[in-house]
Formats: sequence, C-alpha cells, structure tokens
Amino acid sequence: MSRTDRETLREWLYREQEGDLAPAEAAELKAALAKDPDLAREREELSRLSRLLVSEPLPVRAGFRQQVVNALPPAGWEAQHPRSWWLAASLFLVLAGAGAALVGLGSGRLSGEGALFSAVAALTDLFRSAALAGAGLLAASWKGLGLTLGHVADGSRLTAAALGFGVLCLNLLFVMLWRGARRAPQRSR
Amino acid sequence: MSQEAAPPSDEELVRAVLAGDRDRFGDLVDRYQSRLVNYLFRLLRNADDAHDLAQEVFLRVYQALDRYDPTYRFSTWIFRVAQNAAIDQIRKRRLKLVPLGRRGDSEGDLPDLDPPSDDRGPYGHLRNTERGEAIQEAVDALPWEYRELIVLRHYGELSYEEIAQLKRMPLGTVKNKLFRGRQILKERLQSFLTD
Repeated sequence: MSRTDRETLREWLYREQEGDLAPAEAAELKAALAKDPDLAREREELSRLSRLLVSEPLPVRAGFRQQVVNALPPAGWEAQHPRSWWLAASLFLVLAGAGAALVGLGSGRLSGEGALFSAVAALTDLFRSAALAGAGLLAASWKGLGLTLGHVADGSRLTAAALGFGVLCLNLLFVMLWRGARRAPQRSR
Repeated sequence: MSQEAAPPSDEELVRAVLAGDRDRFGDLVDRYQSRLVNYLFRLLRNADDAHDLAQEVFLRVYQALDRYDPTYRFSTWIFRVAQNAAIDQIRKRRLKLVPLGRRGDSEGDLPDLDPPSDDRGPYGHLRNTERGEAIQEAVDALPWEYRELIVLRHYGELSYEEIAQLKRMPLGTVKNKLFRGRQILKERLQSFLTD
C-alpha cells in the first residue's frame, strides 16, 4: 500500500462524501481510517456537515407551480408552433373562401334574381369601393412622401444630412425601446 | 411483468413544451422549484425574494425555451439563468445602499457587500434557530468563489460535472474549490459537528 500523506487522505474524505473515489483510493482510505481515530472522527464530522447544510430547507410556498404556469407569457417561439400555423392557415382559407364566394355571387348579379343576390352584389361593390379607396390613399401617401424626400435630396447637403441623422436617431430610439420592452421583468404579482 | 415507465428527461419535457404541450412546463417547474428556491434563498437571504426571483427565472426560461441547446443539460442552463438573475438582484440592492462615488467591485467579490436582510418574510421563523442562523452565517461568510459553488452543490443539488459546465471551470478546479469551501465551513460550524 502506498504511503499517502494526511492532507491527501483528508481530501479523499471529502471526495468520498461525493462518491468520487476510485476503488483503489477507497480501499486505501478504509485502511487508513482503521488505523487513525482522528481521521475517522473527521469523517464523521464531514458526514454531519453534509446533513447539517441541508437540514433546514426552505419549503416552497403552496401553489407555486400553478402560479408560474398561470403567469407564463406568450413566447415568441409559440408563433412558430405547427398548431398555430394550422390555426392561421385555416382562418386564411375560411376568409379566402368567403371572399371568393362573395365575389362569385356578386359577378352573377346580372343574371341572378331576387333580393338576396342584390344585397350580396351591393355588399361586394361596397368592399371593392373600400379597397380601391384604401389603395388610392396609400398610393397618394407614398407619392407625397416620395415628393418630399425628392425635394430634400435636391436641396442642400446639410438638409439631407440632417434628415439622415434624424432617421438614424429614430431607428436607435426604436431599437432601445424594443430591447427595453424585451428585458422588462415579467411578474405575475 | 409490467415495468414502470421511466419519467421523461428534462430534454423530452422541453421538446413536449415546444411542440405545444404547455402543461409539461409545469412538470419542469415541479422538478426544479425546490432546488431553485433554496439556491436563491441562500444567495438572497429572503424567502419572498427567492420565490419571486425563482418565478421570474422560470418565465425567462420559458420565453427562451426555443434557444435551449440540448447538448447542454437543462439543469445547467436554468441555474445559469438563476445565477445571473440573482447577481442582478444583488447589484440592484447594492446600488440602493452603497453611496455614490464608491468604486465598483469586480464580480468576484460582488456579494460581500450584500447586506443581510432583516425582513425574511413569512418563513422567517424557520431561520430563527441558533443552528439555522449559524449555517446561514457560515455560508454567507465564505468567499464568493467558494460560496457560489457550495450553494450550487448543496442547495441547487448540481453534480460536479454540472457545476463545471455552468461555471465553465475545469472539473478539478470545481472539486478543489468545493473541498476548500467545505473545510472552511467545517471549521466554522465545528460546535455543531461534535458530540
């Protein structure tokens, strides 16, 4: 048997508590413990220390699990969940089907008869008019924005630089706000 | 003869949650709540704060669940989130108490300025024993580098390997620091260890 120094034996005592000793080391420690009462006493103290440290665990308050589950926030990854896609796709198909039915019924208004066809045709026209008006407004807005930007670009370089700086600042502000919102603590209570 | 099915691993539970079974996250909460609350309680020394922060940790983990890398253990990941959250909380407390102009401390000695909290919440009576106080004081008095490992090992119940992964330390260093930390604790708690 090798002559292991006392400090190493003491370290083995700690490792023994963790079940971290190799069989040869365990055998050597066992032999040393049989001959050395001080080492045996230290082993007992270490065992008590491990028990002592965990002797008064803090009980988790009742209903903690449910509290956490109830407070689970919507996570970004949930939008990628297949079931979510199915829901969105189904909704889209239903709306598309309804739209197609309306347009189809509306196109047959000349040949159709009765109040129902007239009502559907009127509704279809209403949707068409609204869509056209919206598209027109959108186009006008973009055209106006384009004209403004063109005017600025044709003006002095200073004005263009100031505009660029302003846009950059707005972007930075937006990014900071977005990151701040992501970091905000989510507390349920 | 029927064999009882082994409980699902953490990684399997994570996969189930990501596949849409939200309730399985409750199983992960069950699995880690006691370890996490006790770990945080030893660092924050306040039962209410420990519970609040544990809840926040679970919520953070849930939100980032799709970024969990299953090549690492889930336990390592959740305790890393908990440790960062605890350090943030300790920093915030210190900001309230340390006068302006005092130099900043490195992370290594960060919690040494952490003030003991007198308000221990409704669980305070559990600590009002001589032995409980002595354990808490002995753990608190450890240098941070030992204290965090002792708390992870004994209250977080992490293995040596998990601690090494979490702290990004060689396994030998973890063992050595735990050995030194326990030696100090043993000396300080000697009166409770002898007959």
